[in-house]
Amino acid sequence: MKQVKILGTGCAKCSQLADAVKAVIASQCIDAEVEKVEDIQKIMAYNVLSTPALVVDGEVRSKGRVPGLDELKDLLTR
Amino acid sequence: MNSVVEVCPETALKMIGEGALLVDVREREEVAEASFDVPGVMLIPYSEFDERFREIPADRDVIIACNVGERSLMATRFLMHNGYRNAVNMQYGIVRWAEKGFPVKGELKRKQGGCCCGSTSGSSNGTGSCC
Repeated sequence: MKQVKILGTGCAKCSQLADAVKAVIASQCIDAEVEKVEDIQKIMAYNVLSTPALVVDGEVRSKGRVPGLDELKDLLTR
Repeated sequence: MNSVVEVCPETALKMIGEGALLVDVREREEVAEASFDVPGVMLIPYSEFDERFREIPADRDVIIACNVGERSLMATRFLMHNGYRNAVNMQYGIVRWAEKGFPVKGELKRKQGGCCCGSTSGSSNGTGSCC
């Protein structure tokens, strides 16, 4: 099972990313557990400042933006 | 983690006079409009900060500044997290700096707070803080 984390302090873009990630996971039947990380210290532990960020299995795969659905599919399945 | 040290623009100006480095984390379009007119100011946009922060010397006193002091606070915390012991946040940003009559190039028009969610240009309305 993939461990997916959405890093963000709770702004609108962070929620957008979380919704988009959940939609892609559902549509692609990806076996994944999604967690939102809103604590700034925990976010900085990933050396990320620009949120929202997407972390898959411990690797930061995007940050500072909300990728489109096709790109998210790639980011979540690669 | 230790709490962030914050300084007012007056203290920041004094520190700059004593050799501290001013780092402006506003985005390029904001800097093009108005910028700190002090020698040696370093420009690292917030949206690039986590990629470029190592350009900042760790052995100097560093003052982080933005528009109103929100993004710079996050950037200062980020620096501290990465071992920078001499970084301080300038409260109230270039807006207060300009109000105090301190040196600015250009004209400060927008009063937006900026956004910690990527680039300010990425926000749909550019109206400011979202987090």
